[in-house]
Amino acid sequence: MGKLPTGPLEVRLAATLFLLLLGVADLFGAWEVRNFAAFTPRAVAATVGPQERDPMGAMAMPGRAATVIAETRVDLATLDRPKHTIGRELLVQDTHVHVPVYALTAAALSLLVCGLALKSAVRVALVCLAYAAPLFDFVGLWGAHLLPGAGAFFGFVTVASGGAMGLAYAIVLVLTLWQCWFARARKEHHDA
Amino acid sequence: MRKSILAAIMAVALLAALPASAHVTPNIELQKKGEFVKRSLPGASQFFEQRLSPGAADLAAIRKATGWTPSSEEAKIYAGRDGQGRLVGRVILVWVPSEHGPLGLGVAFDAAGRILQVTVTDVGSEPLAWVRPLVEGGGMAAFAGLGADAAPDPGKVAPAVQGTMSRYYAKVIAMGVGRAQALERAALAATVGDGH
Repeated sequence: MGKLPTGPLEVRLAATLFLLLLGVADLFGAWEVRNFAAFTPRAVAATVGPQERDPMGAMAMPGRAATVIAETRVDLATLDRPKHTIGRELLVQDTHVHVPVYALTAAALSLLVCGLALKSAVRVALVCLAYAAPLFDFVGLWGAHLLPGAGAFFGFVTVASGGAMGLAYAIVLVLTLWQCWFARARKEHHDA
Repeated sequence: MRKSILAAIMAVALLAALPASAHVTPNIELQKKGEFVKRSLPGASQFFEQRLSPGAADLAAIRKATGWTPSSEEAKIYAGRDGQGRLVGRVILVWVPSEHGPLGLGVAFDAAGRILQVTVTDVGSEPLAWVRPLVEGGGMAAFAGLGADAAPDPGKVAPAVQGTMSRYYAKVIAMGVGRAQALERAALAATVGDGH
């Protein structure tokens, strides 16, 4: 526990490269969120919320005698503009795919946290943050999907949790770089 | 130590591959929908999205004819009108399921409900190999001129193109055209209201 900063070069190198590569994945993750979802609570809620009531399906109920058409003017350029929404099936798939990866990422970050020279309470806080942030990310997504009335709140939970995941990563990265390389170099220089 | 590091690197590589393997095969756009609507209704100067609410009888007729219950997720209706507001025709964009993913079709009708043009707008990368010969072989011309009540015949879709899967997709396309015709019949009988 806490021996990573004084560990062999290859162990510190592996830890650092893992974090840097994870950072690349996180950057592309944020890009994907920008492409297919959003960074604001209301937009997140709109992306995963139940789809707008289907005029064709919803009104196609027994009892309506006559067929009616409502029409609104349309700009044809909008027909090819993609509108991405995440329905329940896709949300199930997203959860199934992301949660195991999030769990393993949290485990790897926790392992690094255990290797860093930190107080036990700080370690506990970082481990909790590493696991809680992805959990609440999906709590927010499912909440916005199942309870659209509270969509903005759950959207906020998702956005905040995404930020917390980034924060957990950034803290571990900064501490690892500092303790394994910069502080160590200063100490070696001082000792010399 | 080295073995442990190698194992760790392999584990990370496997983790990175997990989300990629879960992604669905993307659709390939063969025809831009907006362009198709504009091109197939050249006399139209104004375009409208029509939201069809079938009455009980029309809905039953659609189900009987196609075995399908329409939804606005699967079908979109666009009407073209001339400068005086007269209907020039409609384009119905419809998604049809198939064994290898959905197929997007565009079916253009004139004001009387006769088919002007049919196109495949979107297709998955896997069935593309079976659908492209039908499109490039002029297969979509088989539907042109069909009245709203005339059943599409998949046998006339690029008959020179052989292969079980291509013939299967000729049936899928004909099924989609049939669905668009059923909606067109309901639209022809409908009362137009204000969408606002």
